[in-house]
Amino acid sequence: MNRRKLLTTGKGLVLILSIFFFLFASYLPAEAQREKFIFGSAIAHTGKFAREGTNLKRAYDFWAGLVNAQGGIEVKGKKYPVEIIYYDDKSDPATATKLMEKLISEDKADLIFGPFSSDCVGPSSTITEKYKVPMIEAAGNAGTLFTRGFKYLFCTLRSADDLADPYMRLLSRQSPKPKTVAVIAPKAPFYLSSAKGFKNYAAKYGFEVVHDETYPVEMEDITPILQKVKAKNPDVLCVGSHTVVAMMVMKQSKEIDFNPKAYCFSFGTVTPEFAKELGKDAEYVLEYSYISPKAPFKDPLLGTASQFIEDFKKKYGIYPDGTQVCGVAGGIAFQMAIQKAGLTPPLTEEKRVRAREELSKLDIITAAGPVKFDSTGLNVGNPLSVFQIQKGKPVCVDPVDWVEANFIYPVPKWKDR
Amino acid sequence: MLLQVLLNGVLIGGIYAACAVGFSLIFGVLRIINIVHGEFLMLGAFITYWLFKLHGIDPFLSIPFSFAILWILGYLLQKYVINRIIEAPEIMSLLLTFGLSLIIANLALIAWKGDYRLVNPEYAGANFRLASLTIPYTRLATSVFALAAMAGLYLFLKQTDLGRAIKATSQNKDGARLQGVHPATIYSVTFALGAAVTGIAGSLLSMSFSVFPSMGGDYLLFSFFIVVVGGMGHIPGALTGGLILGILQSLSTNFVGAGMTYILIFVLLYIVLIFRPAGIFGKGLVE
Repeated sequence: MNRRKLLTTGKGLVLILSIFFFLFASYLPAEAQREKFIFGSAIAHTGKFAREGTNLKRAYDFWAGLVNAQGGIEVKGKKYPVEIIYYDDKSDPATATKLMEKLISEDKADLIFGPFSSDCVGPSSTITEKYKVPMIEAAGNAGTLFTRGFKYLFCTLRSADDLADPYMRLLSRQSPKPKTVAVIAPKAPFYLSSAKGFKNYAAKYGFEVVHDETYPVEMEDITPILQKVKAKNPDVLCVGSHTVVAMMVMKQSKEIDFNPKAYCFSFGTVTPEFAKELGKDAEYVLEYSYISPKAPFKDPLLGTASQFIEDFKKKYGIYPDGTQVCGVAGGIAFQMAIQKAGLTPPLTEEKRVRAREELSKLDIITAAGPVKFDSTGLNVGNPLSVFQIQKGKPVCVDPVDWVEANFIYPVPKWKDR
Repeated sequence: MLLQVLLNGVLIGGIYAACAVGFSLIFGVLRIINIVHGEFLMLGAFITYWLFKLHGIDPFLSIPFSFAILWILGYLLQKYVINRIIEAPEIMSLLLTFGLSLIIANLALIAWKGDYRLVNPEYAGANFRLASLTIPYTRLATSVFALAAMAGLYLFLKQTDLGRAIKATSQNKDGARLQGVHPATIYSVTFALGAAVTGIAGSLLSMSFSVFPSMGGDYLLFSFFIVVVGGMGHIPGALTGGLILGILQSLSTNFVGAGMTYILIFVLLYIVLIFRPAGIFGKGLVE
């Protein structure tokens, strides 16, 4: 055989072997041997939700750390450790969606922990729905996300439409009872959903909404809006917010000497950066959560609610906010669903469908609050609490049984602080 | 109420004007659209933030630091990077400064994370009342500083030899060269000066708004508006453009609705571009 013929034959052989490899690669049994659960999460490490995303990641890690310290999730007498693969979605919905595809198709994630913000949860959940991979998320509760009929999206938070309930309940008990409310919110799903809730619950508890306005998300100088609100002299200011929105509202309210009797924010003030950046101007604002050190919840992994909060503070040096509490609860929900269905890794489509069925039936109590999903995937089991920033720290002021400190109302005027 | 709205517009307009004046100067002399301008603002804001947070330096006292650091950065960037394409078609400078802005913004993101930060000294938010008006001290002071910075720049260009050399280069490069002016040096000095004034504006912005690595984008957009309305390269026009933007923003948010503000800004921008391409005073540069 001359050299030319040898080369031609060699090339042919390589080609044939390549075809065989691609034909049979998908049947190779490597995945069948996996001894751990792989979770995936595309979550903001950078961009406008960098801080909130990083904080939520800590919640997922907190749960994974506790589970792995016990050897993993126990299924049929054997323990399987958990691993979470993270990517930075840069706070960008398009990036979150691309990375979700990568987590599922390339990294073979069994289950998904959601990104931060309704903006990113919305589009990325279309991917988990397509591949039938259950996603539990704790930072995307705009009501509109749960009217799409999705079956694989679960949220351990309450709907943002309902967050206003505990604020209005608390305010309605004050004497003299506030009469008027102003609602402002940037135009994005979570903020708008929160604003809708503020208006609905204000009406339910007998408050008059004297101002209702939305504004572009990119608007930094909201002084003109606050001036309009100030002119109407509302008793309560309600804001659809994340940390930066809440910071700007407080800073600019002080600049124009606007003094409502209470400030209600839908998110972003329990995050330590809020008090750190604003200093004493952060005082007295309200934010919702789901637990309190006095909440009567407990579970075998976290212990009591008080113990969970202390352990979390010890590990990360921060008080767990609403999304972090629900992030940890989400981990436990996944764990329970896996155990109840007796699933072992890797999770094939058939196993993921069973995991989804277990999640939809779940009714559990964790130290991070109860979890019970309704037919849309939203958690309806957990009660809401209200925190107020007092002396730089969040303290529970409602419900009555969980109170750590008295609710300060009306808040002192800026000149008296 | 109307007076308060107008006052808010004027106070914020002064800062916007300071944000745009460096952009206008650089365009006027070097004929480049400096996309890295937004990052100069961001760096100025971060210089103030870190000096305040780490060393307790009052935000107003940090202004000379912003000026000096941005001057050096601007000088080096122009001399060693932008100067290489200064004679190339304008699209090249656009691409180059766009690339530089991405590099700087991402380096800032790596170094300082994406957190939103506040410069919130003890006196932040303090205000006084004048008849029915509430006037925040910080906004008034930042506005006055912004006007002072612009006045300083204007006088420098008008009264000093170097300033006149810059203006001469802007008007006729070859003519200036015949008078012994070295255009390459003038370009570097002008770019440095533009960056330094922008650094001051960044410091001033940080006292009223949040500071974060990607903050430059919006202000770059505002700067475009201001220099188009005021006239590209026409320094006093930046003040007019800034005030128009501030007042328009304040009026539209109050009387039309916040959602309409950006629409109105861009409608006005297009009207000016169509009917007064050299700015409302007709003194801007139009090729």
